[in-house]
Amino acid sequence: MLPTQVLFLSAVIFVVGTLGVIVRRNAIIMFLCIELQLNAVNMAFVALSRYVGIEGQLFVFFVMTVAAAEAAVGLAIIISIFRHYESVITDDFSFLRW
Amino acid sequence: MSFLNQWNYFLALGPQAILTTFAIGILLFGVSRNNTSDEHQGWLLGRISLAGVIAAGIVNAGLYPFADRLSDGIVAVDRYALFSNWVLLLGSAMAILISISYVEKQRIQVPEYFALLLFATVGLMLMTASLDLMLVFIGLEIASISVYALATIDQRSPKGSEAGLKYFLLGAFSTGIFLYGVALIYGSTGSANLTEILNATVDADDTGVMLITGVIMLAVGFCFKVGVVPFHMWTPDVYQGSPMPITGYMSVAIKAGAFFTFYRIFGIYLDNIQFSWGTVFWWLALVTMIGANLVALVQNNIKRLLAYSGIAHSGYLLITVLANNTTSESGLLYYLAVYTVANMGLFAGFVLVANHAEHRVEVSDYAGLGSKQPFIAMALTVFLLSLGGFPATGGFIGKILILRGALEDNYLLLAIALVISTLISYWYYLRLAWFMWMKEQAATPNTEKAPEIEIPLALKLVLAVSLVLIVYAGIFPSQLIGFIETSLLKG
Repeated sequence: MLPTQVLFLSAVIFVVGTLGVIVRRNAIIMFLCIELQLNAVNMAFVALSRYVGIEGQLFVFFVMTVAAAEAAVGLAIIISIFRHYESVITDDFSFLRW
Repeated sequence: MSFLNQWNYFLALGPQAILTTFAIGILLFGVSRNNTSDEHQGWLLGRISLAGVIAAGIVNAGLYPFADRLSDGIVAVDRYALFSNWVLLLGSAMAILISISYVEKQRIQVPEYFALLLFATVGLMLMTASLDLMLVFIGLEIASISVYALATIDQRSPKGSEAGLKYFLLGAFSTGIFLYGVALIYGSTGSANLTEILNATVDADDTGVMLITGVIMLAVGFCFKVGVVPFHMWTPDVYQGSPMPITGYMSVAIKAGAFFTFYRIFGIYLDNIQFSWGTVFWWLALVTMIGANLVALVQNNIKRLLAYSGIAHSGYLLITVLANNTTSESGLLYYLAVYTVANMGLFAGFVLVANHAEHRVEVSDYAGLGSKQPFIAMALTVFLLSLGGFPATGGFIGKILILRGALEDNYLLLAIALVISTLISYWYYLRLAWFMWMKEQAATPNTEKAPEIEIPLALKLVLAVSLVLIVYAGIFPSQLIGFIETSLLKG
């Protein structure tokens, strides 16, 4: 595949992830969509490194590491909220509303 | 000093390295002790982490002779970075002092708490000093992930978990947007290094749509982190649900760190293509100043009130990024330093009134504070006035500098909006002060009796130091301004 096509694919995946975070109300699905966004970023980095140099492939490893750390903390937070509300649907907990 | 060998590079990251060492030490201390019922663990570990912050501050002072404005590596060792280190270290030192009694009373896991606080500071310091968008991302994430965990550290509080989840989801979401922006900028300029981006954008005529999209996405990611109006919806909820010292830390350190970086990236390195982001920022600043101040008028919970006040301050600070001349840059530094001190002092008072817990956080709970606790009430009033920008407090000078900077670059409308929104903000700042001094406590029998407030030494220190600094910065600003003028990136 040509880098442009890969870039286009990555943009599509990114938009899917973004829409998913906005539309869905299940915390785990939202989290998955965020992971989708980050992987779209990885794909874009790899595709762009075809044009501009090897750095892009390096960045992918940073992004993956940070995404893993974020997953660890995020899932812990989701577990902690499940203990309180027995639900991970964000509409179900509404202590904090204005 | 030239940074020719590896050792010198290590020195350049000295403050961050020291804080990391202390944080890891605290974590090790936490796992090596098996008695969790130790009453004074908070006091001990608080002092250790405070020592870490002070040690980092000493190293930071030691870096001054080596500061170099024209570094083109990945980490900048310029006086701007060192100044922002001062502000961040001051903010985290105050957060640690406020936390000590709080963590003991709330039985929070002490070692994790202080270690995460130090890690967050390390991340922010790394971010403000970085000259590479990838390092900005890593610093931002070190700080953010630590603060996600800190927001939800009180496992028994449903509100804390909810705040943590909201912060996490929106924070991670904004990280994704930020990163895609980095990818696009990298693709169109050929590098993530800010110096090379600056060189690649000198010829502004051939800026492609990819670069502009990238820059806008980068800005949106940052706006989420600092809470600028269309992207602010998480801020009040998260501030309300988090433990109070953490709310203070978030409102001060995260905001300061993000704005220092914001200015470095947009004000200096993306200055050539200001046409692409200038209009966006103009509208964001306007909407943020007016909108946040209007919503703050109807808030009764002090943490939400401070959240909206913080959003409004983000709006003021956006003007400095937009009108990037030397005056507005000194305005940014001055404002952030004063804002840090005033907001942290305010949270010290809140923690005292709430008696190191999460109740008594309504504005009406402050009725009659002036007659019972004149010292706390006086300190809080001074901090509120400083946030509002009253003459003879530090906030006034900061606002004047921002206004002058805006006028020098002909942002007349924004300057007018700043003045109007400041006038609006007096209503809610002074309303709290009015409750403290003019209103008697309601004598209904079913309201819980306000407990006697006892001020621990640490909080006395925070209140007194903030009070002195605010008044000093307001009455004798020339020394601080002189110091700031040597720390500018533009010069």
